[in-house]
Amino acid sequence: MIHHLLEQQLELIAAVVSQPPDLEKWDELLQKVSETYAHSDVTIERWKDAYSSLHEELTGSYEDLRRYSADLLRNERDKLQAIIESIGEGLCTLNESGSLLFLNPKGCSLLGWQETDVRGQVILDWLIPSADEETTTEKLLKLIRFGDTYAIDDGLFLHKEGFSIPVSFVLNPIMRDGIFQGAVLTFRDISEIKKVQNARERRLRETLLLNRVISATTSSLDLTEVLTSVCKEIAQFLTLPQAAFGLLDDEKSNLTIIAEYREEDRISALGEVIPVSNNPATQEVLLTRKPLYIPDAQTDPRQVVIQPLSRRRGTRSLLIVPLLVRGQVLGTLGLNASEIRPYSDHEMQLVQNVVSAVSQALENAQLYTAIQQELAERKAAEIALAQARDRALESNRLQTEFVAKVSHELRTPLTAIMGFAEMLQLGIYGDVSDKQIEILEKVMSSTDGLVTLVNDLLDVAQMEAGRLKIDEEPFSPRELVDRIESTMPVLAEKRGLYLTVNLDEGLPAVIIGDLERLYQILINLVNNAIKFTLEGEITVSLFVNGPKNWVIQVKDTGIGIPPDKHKIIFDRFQQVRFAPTRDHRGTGLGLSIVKQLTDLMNGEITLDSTLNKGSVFKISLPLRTPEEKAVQSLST
Amino acid sequence: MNKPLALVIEDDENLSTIFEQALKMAGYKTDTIRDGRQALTALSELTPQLIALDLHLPDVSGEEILEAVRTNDRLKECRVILTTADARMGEFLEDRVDLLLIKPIRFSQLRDLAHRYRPDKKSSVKSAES
Repeated sequence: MIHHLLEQQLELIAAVVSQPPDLEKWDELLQKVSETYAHSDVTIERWKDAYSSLHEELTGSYEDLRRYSADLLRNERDKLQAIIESIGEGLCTLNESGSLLFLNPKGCSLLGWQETDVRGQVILDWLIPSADEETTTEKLLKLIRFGDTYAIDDGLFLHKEGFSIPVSFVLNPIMRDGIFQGAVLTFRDISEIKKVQNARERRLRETLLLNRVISATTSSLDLTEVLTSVCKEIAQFLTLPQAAFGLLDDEKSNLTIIAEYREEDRISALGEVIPVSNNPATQEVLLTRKPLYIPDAQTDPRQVVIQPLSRRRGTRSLLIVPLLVRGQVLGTLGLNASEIRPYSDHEMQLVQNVVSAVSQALENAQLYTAIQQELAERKAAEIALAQARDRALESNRLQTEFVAKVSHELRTPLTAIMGFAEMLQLGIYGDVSDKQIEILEKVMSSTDGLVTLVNDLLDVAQMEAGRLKIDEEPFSPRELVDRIESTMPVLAEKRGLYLTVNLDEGLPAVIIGDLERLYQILINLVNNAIKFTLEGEITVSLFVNGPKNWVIQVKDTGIGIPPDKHKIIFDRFQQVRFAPTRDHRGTGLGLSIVKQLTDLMNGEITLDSTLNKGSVFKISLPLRTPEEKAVQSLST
Repeated sequence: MNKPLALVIEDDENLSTIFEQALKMAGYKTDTIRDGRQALTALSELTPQLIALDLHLPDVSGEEILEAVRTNDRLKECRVILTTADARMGEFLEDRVDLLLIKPIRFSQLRDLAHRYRPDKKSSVKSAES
């Protein structure tokens, strides 16, 4: 086997291996081999150099790397240390049997221990003393041995000094290749959170209490009931055995206990009367209108009057809170404790809030009572008014009935008077002289007047009672005219007057109305005209006035009526006394009846009068014919 | 000649005197009855041609007497003049009587109207002014 370099050399000199070369070639070969050796030497040197420098380089790099790693490690360790030391939580590591390996400074400061005190100790047993045979360490490590985490939000650790610290803690297992190596305990002091939480809870409970108090005050209007439930609420809230409300009498000389809450073994204070005089504590509250705290009511000189009471009842601390309504002390709330019991600012504030809610309720109750009284008074006034109205109506009804009765009772004797007078006049009882006939005439005429009065009174009474109804029947205006013509001209002629009746041809032959009442209106108007006309004539006219009205008009040439009397003449019993008349016998009801009948007929009465010239009474009435009435009743 | 019979049923003595006189002058023979029960008894025997009937009577009211007259076939020809002070009640019964006269009633008025109702004056009008 020939080295490939030599083979190359041989090829260069074209020598064959199987044949020894000639010298020239030999020399050439030797030359070549030497050159090759020389070249190898150079290469070896070069390699040596390269190796040497590489070695140096690697050594340097290794050093750098080692230094760097150490730095890094130290850095990281320092960092970790800093973290562990500056962490806000307590941190400790435990070995697999629970002995402490490390406790960070925060943990030390929280627990009060130096790390050296506790290293190697089963710290968990110290922090959480076990209540039974199994130690805390055993219990907890059992729970996390297989990789679970154990966490408590709201626990307590025992401080070195023996007091409890509210903590939250987490116990985490350290596992390596699934094997339990130990644990890390992190814990945090939650005192501040607790405080905030407690304050929040307290505020909530206070709010709830106030709500209950307010709801108690609004759920009932019974003062005792309200105060009793407030006593109960506040006593239970402050865990007091007894609370009581006392109310002051008007003279402010005594407080009477009207409501209380008490635990069963306590003596009731209900109904007790506490005098204000010789009672400096109560006096002070009344004066300052501020709560008064008495640490020990059994010995406090201000409580001298009720010291025996306090002793009997077993009251030590007493808090007296004034019940203020509109700045006035109405009473007090007394809070009794069986021991010396100071009240925190919060509690004082709460008690005052409760009492002020009660005060508000009392004020409302007072207002309510006042309003109720006001309403009751108004109601009473209304009832009185209604009664008065009923009485008036009843009296009106009785009056109407009375008038009807009287009118009825008068008719029988009137018939007798008229009948006998007429019989006398007719000579049925023997001859009568002219003078006697004349007298009998006067008797009958007077009786007629009386009959008119009786009829008028009955009409007025009925109109007042709303009982007078107007008929709406077809009638002939001609018949009305005939009736007037058959009765009234005679009366007028007796007074030397002339009466004419005109019927407008344009008036329908049959119209709708109440013939009897229209006749009554006319008789009254004509009688009135006769009465006030000394000479001349009276004209009665019935005529159409426009498409919708017709008119009854009575015109006289009488003394007239002064303008200022135009209104009152239609009032009842008004007889116009402004001029002498021949005849004052009228009832004074005639024109009032005319006016009322006209109103009932939806008509309108007008008076046009000139003194010493005469008067015109005009009654305008709705004009309706039977056809129109039929149409109207169909359409309604 | 037999005069027709007119009954005055009226509890007031004065009025019955006057009414009887007026009816006599109108050509009737008359009889007066002062209370309702007697009137019912009388009407079971008598057959008057005319009755002047008051409404307010002792024992039995004029309304009941009117009812007895109107339901008695024997008395179907009988004229009834209601003489009352009670206008309201009178108007209520107006359709069932021949004539309604509200007191006070004039002597001559009753006399003249009764005269028209005499059986021998059949042609006389039924209606009359009050």
